[in-house]
Amino acid sequence: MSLSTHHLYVHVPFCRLVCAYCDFVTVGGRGADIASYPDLLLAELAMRPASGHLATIYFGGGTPSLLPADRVARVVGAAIDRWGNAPTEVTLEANPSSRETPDWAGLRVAGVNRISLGIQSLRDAQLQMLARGQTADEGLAAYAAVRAAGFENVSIDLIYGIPGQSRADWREGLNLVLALAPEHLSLYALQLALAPDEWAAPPRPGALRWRKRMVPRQDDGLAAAQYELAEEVLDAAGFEHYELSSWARPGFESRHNSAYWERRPYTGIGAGAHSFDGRSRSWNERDLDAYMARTKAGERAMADSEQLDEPTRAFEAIALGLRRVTGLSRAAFANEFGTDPVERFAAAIGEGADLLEVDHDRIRLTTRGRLFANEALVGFAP
Amino acid sequence: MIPPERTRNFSIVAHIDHGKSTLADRLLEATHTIDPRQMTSQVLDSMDLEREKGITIKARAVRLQYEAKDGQTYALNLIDTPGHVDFTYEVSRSLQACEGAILVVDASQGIEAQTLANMHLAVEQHLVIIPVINKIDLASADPEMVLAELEETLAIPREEVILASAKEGRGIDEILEAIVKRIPPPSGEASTPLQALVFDSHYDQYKGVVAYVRVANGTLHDHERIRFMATGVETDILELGYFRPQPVPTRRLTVGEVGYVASGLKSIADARVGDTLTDADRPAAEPLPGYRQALPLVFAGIYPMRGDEYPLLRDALEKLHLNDASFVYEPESSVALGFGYRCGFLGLLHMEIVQERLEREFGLELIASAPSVEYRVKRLNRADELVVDNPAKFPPAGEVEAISEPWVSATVITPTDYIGPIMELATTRRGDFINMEYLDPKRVNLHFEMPLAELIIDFYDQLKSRSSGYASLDYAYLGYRLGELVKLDIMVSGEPVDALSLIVHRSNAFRVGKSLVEKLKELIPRQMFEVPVQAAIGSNIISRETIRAMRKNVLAKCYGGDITRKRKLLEKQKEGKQRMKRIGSVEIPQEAFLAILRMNEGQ
Repeated sequence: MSLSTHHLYVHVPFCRLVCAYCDFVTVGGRGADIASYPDLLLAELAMRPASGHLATIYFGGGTPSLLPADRVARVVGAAIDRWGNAPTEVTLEANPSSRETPDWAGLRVAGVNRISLGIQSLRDAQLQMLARGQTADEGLAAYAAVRAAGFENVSIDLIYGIPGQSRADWREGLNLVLALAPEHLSLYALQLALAPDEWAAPPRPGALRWRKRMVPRQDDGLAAAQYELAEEVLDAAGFEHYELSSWARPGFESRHNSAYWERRPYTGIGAGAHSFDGRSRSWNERDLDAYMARTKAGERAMADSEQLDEPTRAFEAIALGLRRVTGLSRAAFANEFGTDPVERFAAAIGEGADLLEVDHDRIRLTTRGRLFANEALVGFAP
Repeated sequence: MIPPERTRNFSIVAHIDHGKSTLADRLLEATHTIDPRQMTSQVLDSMDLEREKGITIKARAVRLQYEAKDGQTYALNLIDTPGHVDFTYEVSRSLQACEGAILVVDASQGIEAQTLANMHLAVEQHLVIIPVINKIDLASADPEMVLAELEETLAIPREEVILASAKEGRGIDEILEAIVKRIPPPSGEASTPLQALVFDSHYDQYKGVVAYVRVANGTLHDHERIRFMATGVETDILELGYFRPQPVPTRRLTVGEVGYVASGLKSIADARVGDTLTDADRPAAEPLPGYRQALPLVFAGIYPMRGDEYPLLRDALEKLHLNDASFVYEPESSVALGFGYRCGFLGLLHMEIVQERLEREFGLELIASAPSVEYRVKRLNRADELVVDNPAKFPPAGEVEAISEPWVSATVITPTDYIGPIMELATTRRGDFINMEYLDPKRVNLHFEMPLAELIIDFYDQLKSRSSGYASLDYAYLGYRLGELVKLDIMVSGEPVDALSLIVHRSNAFRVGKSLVEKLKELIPRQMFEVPVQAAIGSNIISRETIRAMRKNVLAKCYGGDITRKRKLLEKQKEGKQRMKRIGSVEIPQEAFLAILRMNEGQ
């Protein structure tokens, strides 16, 4: 991949049902706007500069699978026109539900070649606990439909650390998913923010009440054990653990997500989408109405931006690089920032003791460090 | 020059908010001492803080020129007094400079605790009392009830009482006439060696220490050499004068007169309240009676919120001390709070005033530890007593033979409805009930003796909340008494935390220890290892909680839209970590210490 590689993120905020644990930019009950939203995406795309070579497109949400396949096709087509090349990886996140059955074949025709299925769990009890309006059977059915349409790169999201989910439940869940033979797995610990920070979408009052009920029932010791179990089970199943929450069969790492951890430039379009050009980051209006109104008026609906100074860039290089299980390359860091990170962050590395390991090429988190990544990273913060 | 027989020296005393300052303002206006149009309300209270808190911190003395109904012109010296229990000694010195006092009582509140305290001080000084019922303009005023209270409680005949509304200017003429007619002129010998009572002082950056004096005997001359008898300090007078209310220089102050002496001295500690000024060349044989050095009763650690402000705090304390010699300070350090000062104050209000002045006048952000008292510790096989004002400095439990602590006599005046809750409060604070007097059928005067340590921690707030704000409090120092006291240590991961040690009565140790340990368990964030939190007396653990180890701390997701947010969270976490204090291997946020210190206030 050349240095001028670029990535496109397309945010689709609509959800039929907004999950109470979700911090992403989402809206429920706005089905009427789904039809007009893709035109706004096209309008924004036309306003945004397109540099380099477009390597990936990622439709994230929200629930991108709510978009009709022909609209997805138009966005993909417009991006290809804008950059003048076809990306190698086009991912679309989908919600497995019998009430919203996407036109999988149509999506393939639209250029999508990777599906990320939000199955979350294959046990109904846990799905109910998560208050997702979906059953395990619907997850299985969606997966089968995706395969039937010919998709050869499918990722499945699972959640652990669910109140009531034992270590045995989790093992069973992993085995059920492994039996489906996906190419990629993202395993997320259920993290419930009670105090909203200014950077996250504030939880709705009902969601906050739900979280307050759930949090006391969570057990971080159990969640840690579940994480360790996943590392063990997936390793045995031939998956490679390549990022803190991501596992893939060889060759199936998410190229798009890897771009974030490698700090490559990306353009984000849609409500709340973030963009990064290597030096600064900007983000769009989170509020759907504000995004739509400003975009309709012919301006980019940017909410704010930040310039990243050198210490901040260096910190992001560490924080994101350490999310990769292989860690970050000392030489690459030294090349970009002028000093060996082991020298520059000697204190933080010393404090990190059993959380970090350093060899002559790389710095990486230890097994224990992967459970305490925040503790290991704090010392590097500017 | 008005002769001594047409001079009157008087004070106004009142419970807080009964209208003392407003009455003083009206007297100044009525005697044309000040133009009403130029009047900022409450001229005598010169510090902002005083105006805000409605109390007078520094006494001032103003000369009023009054043309009485008998056609003669009188010099009325109004000597203002601090209106709070912490300054009892200062009040008594101001009263010593007078022959009479106006006792102001609020027409709807009636007699309150400080009304009684001030009345007793005035009677001790053999002053003539002019009782005034103020605020009769209020809808809630009940002068009849107050007249009855004065008669029954203080044996003040109702015909002596003047009904007034300082706010509306009613009763002012009557008060001025009463000052002239009822208060005797000052007595004293003009020819004997000089004795002038220092009843207050302040520091002026140009004139040095300015002492407020009342000439008891002899005459003060400008530029003469004077001696402060208690401190032995001698100096030449830079300027002599009196206040109207602005300073008016004069050639001399003779017997009975009140005025100021600018001394050029650099430290207010050289001109202490209650000291006697005499002529250095022809000194008096003896000082005037009653001098004592004001002793601090309440102690607390004062720390800058930010460690780098320690030098600023030191300078601020030095400067403030120039103006207020009654607080003491010495450097101390605490693992939890860093470098700061252990300060001693006359009382809680004094502590609050000093702290506020430090914050307001010097722009400092401060943390104060819970107030404590000075304990006297008798050690095994040692004859001398150890005086300890900081629990952290207590000797180990094994060396202690006995501990004694200061006790006070507390007077609480309250409507009868609240007797129960107040009795309960006082007894849970180890108070001994002494007696109860009815002021009228609906109000009583409760008298307790209790340890000062119990009174300074939140007692006043509790008293107010249990009496819907109606009860008033006054207290006086009694002396030291033995107590079943123990030092309670708090340990985190086996390490004692100095800032959290406290002295408690043995019977409360378990309860206090348990609640502190429980609170700390809530406040100390989980660490990567298990942390025991214990309360101990000596080596005896009386309470224990365990903070479970954190098992993971990692962000599950970090994609394009999350990076800024998650970076900010980590930056915030780092900032928080930098404010943490390390006790052994455990990081404790400063907020935890602050919460505990505040909780101590509510024990």
